[in-house]
Amino acid sequence: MSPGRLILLGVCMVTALVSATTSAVADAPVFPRGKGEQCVEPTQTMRKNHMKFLVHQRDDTVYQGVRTTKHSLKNCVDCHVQEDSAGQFIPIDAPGQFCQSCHEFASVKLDCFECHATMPDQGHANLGNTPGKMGSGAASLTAHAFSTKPSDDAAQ
Amino acid sequence: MSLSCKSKQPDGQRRRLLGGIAGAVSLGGGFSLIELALAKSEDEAISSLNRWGLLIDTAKCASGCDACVKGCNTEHNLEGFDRPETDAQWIRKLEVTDRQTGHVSSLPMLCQHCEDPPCVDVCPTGASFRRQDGVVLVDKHTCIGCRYCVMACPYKARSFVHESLYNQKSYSPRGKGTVESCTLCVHRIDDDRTPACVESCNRDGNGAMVFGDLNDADSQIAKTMRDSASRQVREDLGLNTGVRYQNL
Ligand code: SF4
Repeated sequence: MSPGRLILLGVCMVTALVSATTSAVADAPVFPRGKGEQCVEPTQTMRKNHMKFLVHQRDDTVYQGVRTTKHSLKNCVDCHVQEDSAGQFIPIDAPGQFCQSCHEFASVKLDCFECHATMPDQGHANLGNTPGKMGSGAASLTAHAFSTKPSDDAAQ
Repeated sequence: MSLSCKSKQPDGQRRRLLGGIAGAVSLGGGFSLIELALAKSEDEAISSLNRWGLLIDTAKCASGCDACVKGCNTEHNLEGFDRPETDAQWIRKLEVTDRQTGHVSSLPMLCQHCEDPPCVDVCPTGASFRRQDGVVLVDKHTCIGCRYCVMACPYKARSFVHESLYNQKSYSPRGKGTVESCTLCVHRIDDDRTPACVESCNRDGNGAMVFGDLNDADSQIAKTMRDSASRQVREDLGLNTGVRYQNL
């Protein structure tokens, strides 16, 4: 390959890289801000290491009964959960919400919330566990869950 | 049956010690330092100096009362799917009949929080474990849902979650594909509170349950167990259960 062609190839690659980066920024997930001035750790640290904090805290809590909130998943949810216009909490794993939007962007499956609560407990009290009252994203899922409840079976 | 544990656990007890020290310094106005000393701070790890347990008086527990079951279901949001065979059940009421005499006792059955739990023995992943303070739990992060523990438990105390769940409590994570059972309300224990079933039994039931530290000679539960007879269900298995029954 001649030096000219090599340079051309190099230029193309750089251009491709730059445009990829630009488009990545353009597509970057938009998600709601948490409460308060700043996160429990610097944002960059959290972006890179939140899962490590969570796993560490998880083992401390499960095995040692340590209940500090700084790095707890519950704390993440409490701070980052949003309310809809009716003042009801929106599950944090619903599309566009804090956890889900980034995980979707990064193509990383978010399975914390198969077991963990997606909103503060207060939300359940407000919701009264009634179908249709839950925030947008999980509404259909919840509807499914409730359709299998005894009362619904009786109604059918 | 040796309750004063074949101690793998050192003697003495942090809360008792602190209670003892503070006991001398109780203040006026119904305020005492004991309560302050009792509280485990949230960053403090649990200790093998404690062993949490329940004492259930079957003479007080009434047939037809299910306050403890309701309390548990509400606390942990254990909703039924109208499939009694598989619905989660952390505590259930049993009526046991003495075939010889016909005497019927009513009692709640739940995880007995054994010192030597068969579920922990059989668990292939280490998900079933016993906390240092005697509470037997499932680490659902590690559970693969094989259900060996369900088969191994002599008390049929474990349930398997068959359905996707969407409305768990923040303090009680539960999910499809994992096994679960009574946690003795660890989230409450870590916060120096009483398990939900005991609270409900005292409030809406017949005050048949006492919760406390079996290692603390001064606790109500230890005193009652020292002064009057109590039994383990299936004591022949030698599991040294943390849940004991009176008048059975
Ligand atoms: S179901 Fe889970 S906790 Fe039970 S034995 Fe299997 S891996 Fe262990």
